[in-house]
Amino acid sequence: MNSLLLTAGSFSDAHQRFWIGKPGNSTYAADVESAYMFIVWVSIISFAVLMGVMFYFVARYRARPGLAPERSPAHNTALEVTWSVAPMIILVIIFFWGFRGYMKVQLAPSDAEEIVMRGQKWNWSATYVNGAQSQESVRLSASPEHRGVVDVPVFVVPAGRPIRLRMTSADVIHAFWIPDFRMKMDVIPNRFTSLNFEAMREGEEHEVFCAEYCGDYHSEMAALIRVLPPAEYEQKLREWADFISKLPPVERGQAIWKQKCATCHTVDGGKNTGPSWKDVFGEEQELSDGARVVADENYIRESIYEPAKKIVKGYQNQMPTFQGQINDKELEGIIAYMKSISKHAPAAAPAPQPAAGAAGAGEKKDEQKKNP
Amino acid sequence: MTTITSPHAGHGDHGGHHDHDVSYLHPKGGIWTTIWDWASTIDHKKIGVMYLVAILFMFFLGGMAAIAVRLELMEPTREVTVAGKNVVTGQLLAFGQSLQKGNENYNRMFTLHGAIMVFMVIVPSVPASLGNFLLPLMLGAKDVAFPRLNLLSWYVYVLGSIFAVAAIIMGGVDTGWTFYTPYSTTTDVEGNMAYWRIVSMILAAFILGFSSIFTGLNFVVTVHKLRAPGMGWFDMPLFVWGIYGAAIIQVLATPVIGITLLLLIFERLFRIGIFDPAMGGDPVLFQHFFWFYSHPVVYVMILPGMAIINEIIAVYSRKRIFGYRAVAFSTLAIAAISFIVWGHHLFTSEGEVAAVVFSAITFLVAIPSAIKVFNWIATLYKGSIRLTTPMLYALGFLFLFTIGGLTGLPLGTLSVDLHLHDSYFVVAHFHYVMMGSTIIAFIGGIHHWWPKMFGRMYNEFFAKIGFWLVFIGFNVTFFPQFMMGAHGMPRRYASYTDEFLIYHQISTIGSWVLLVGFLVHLFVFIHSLLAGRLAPPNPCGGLTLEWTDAASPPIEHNFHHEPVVNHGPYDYDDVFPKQADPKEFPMPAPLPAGARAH
Ligand code: HEM
Ligand SMILES: [Cu+2]
Ligand SMILES: [Cu+2]
Repeated sequence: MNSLLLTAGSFSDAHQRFWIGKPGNSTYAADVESAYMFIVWVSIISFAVLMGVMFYFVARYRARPGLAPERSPAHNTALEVTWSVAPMIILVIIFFWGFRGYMKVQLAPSDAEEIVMRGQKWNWSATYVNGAQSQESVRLSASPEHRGVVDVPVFVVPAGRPIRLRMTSADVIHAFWIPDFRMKMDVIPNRFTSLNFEAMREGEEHEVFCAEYCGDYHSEMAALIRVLPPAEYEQKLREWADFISKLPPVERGQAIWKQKCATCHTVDGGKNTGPSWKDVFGEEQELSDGARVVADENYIRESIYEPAKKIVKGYQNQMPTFQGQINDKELEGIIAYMKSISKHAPAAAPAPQPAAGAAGAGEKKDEQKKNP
Repeated sequence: MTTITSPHAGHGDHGGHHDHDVSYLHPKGGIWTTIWDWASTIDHKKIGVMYLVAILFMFFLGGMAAIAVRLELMEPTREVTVAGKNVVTGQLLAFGQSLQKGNENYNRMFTLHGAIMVFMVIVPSVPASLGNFLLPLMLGAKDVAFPRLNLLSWYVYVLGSIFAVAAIIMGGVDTGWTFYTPYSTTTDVEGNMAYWRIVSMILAAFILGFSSIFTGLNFVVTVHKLRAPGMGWFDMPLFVWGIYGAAIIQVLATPVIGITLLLLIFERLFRIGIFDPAMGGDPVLFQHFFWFYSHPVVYVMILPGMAIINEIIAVYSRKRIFGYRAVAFSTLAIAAISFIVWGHHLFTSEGEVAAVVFSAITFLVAIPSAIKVFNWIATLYKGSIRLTTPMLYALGFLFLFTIGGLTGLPLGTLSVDLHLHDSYFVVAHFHYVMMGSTIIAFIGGIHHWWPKMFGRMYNEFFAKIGFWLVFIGFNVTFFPQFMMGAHGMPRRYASYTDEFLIYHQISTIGSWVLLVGFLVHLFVFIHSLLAGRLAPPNPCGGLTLEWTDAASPPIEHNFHHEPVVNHGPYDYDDVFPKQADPKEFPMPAPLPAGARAH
């Protein structure tokens, strides 16, 4: 008996894995999975019955010599009423099942910790309660030989504590989807939307995808969420909060580049969505209206806070403003970093080596990968 | 209502002594005369054939784009180290250029595919081609109510398609067929070409809308006014009911998308700030407008497909459609409810109350669809089923539509849709209903009425091979996408993480099988036109007027005499079809005394 139950259990396990994957890691996930698997079963059974009857009729009444069609009633009220009402009952059950789960995720507990999530073409940035931002990144599906093509940020969330992501977009509509949490929500400009969840098992990592089409790098707009024990989570937040401000200017600039700018600007001269930063400082730029300006400190400041004002010839007006995103100290760092990689700025320090020895060096072990 | 003898039996065989008694396909003179004759024709049959050709051509274009999309997805974009050097793989559409270029090309490709397939293929497919050809024939009329408007709709269709093709030639559009704001108002704003090609594509959809409205209006009036003497509403073939239901939606819903697209163009040109949040607009408003049209329109796509299935199943099982009235009324019910469920496309962007209401109504619309499936299967009971190519397509439709409908349920379920929305699960769902159902029904219908339209039979053996390739190829392509989506694969991605590799590869291989299947059908059609056996007037033994009272192909004015209807469209139990071969279509035995047939 016991082993029979066990087999049944592992069958239903494998069955669920086949249709939707291993159990998700949010308190909401089980709701989604149970509703989904219920619908899968309803579907399999109704499909099998319908197709079974259909194939039986086709085989049984297939035209052959000597078999004339038989007369049969052209309708049958009892039968028709039954097959209209029966699905209705099942549908009502499914509706309420979905409604219950949905309300649960809409109504976040009031003690949920808020993380501000900002989407912009084409990356995510999270700001934690203490103002910290992620200082780590990875390549998804990373294996040394076979890896994603862009660095995506690593976010942390505590296990067993309610979290509310307050989300907004700087440009077009994106959507924040954590498949393993079984939920997503649109991220809309000029508006806040929220995603409420509580992660369950610590130590797991979960991919985040942008689910609303947003342009060229839509399929690279991803992130990785690490579920940490609450104490470690707090610790990580403190580390990240101090990280940038403690770096010397050039390293600070490089860290910000990696975090916010690297999707669009290279530092090795390669062309991307925006111009490369290599040798840009001090160089004369030709703008799309034909004017020429030298890229000095003021030009850079303006390009960051009012990017639409001057567009370098050959590029599109794609960059969102970073007003309120980058403070004076960080701006100073960016300028220092740009100087350091420009031949037009002779006084600059040489390009920094990967931040070995700097504060928080521990988690920068995949540094080299990010700097191809 | 049911009598065996008809006062007009045999009249269809009148010889062609008058000019207008020759087949509508008969050339009017030399090549230029004939071309002019077609280009200026107001004959619904010719217009139907012209639509068929145009639509199949666009289907080919859209299909090639789909093959390109699937090819790109054969391999994810990956950086690999080969001999100490980093190379990027899986960027087929980059043609050696940058990663960004590759992604951009991919985005333009799926937009092209979606826009063509929706606006230029599925929406007009059945109504404009088969509907145009058959509606007057089935009603016993000489033509549609407004023949000139009908021709105009074809030219408007071509004009719209030209705008779309122009947009493609100017470099293509990367907004997705849904044109969501603010992406669509802010992308490609630099450079003249880039700027205008989006406007051109939006205009294309706008113009095509008029073609759709003209056709719909024409059909509604035709059904109301031009039924043959003796044909009451419930004596109409169910094909007519389906086309009628779709036509009502076309007329009522299309103006909404027209206005929305105009606003979108104004937004792009004059930056008026309706949708763009940067100017105080509401980006989600566009989605409401868009789906207010586009959900009803999914029923413009499916009702005509269902309409075809009714005819095929009845004819090839020699049965009256079970619960005729239930099928007819569920058509109208679907048409009505379809207007109030648009919000189920916005569960992840709208308020809670709205989402709950929309979820509830969405389930309501599933019921009439289910009832139809039950009725079709019940029709097979005690029939005499011939597994011809059209019948295989009809059974294939039942198989695929059942899957398509059932997978609508998790999408309508609030909690589950928060997970599945905008994933490959949605992609699979709508391909099962749009391609697996409407296109499958369309191809089945083309085969079914092919002898009537062109006066020639096609090669049954190769057509069946075509069916099996299409059916298998379709399932191999799209079934894995359900799993892929539920496991976390978002839609509109040019690349993916390794866990989805196997599903994508199966899917891409399936797309090749599908392609071969369609090529087989193309071969069958061409072969039939060139070398097909001449078709008798009623090769399938149908009881609707296009089979009983019209020649194959029909004469220019359809009928020698206005048909008088004195039996129902599916009274196979009591009526032997005129013009059919009595050896092939046995009559059922009389009912035992006391039993009632209907
Ligand atoms: C049983 C009936 C059906 C139900 C309950 C249903 C439900 C749904 C729902 C809830 C969605 C939104 C999913 C999402 O975006 O998250 C959806 C998407 C869609 N459905 Fe259905 N559906 C049904 C039948 C059909 C039919 C008959 C068609 C067309 C012939 C159709 C075409 C589509 C299309 C095109 C989309 C996706 C549009 C897009 O985002 O590009 N559906 N369906
Ligand atoms: Cu995106
Ligand atoms: Cu819909």
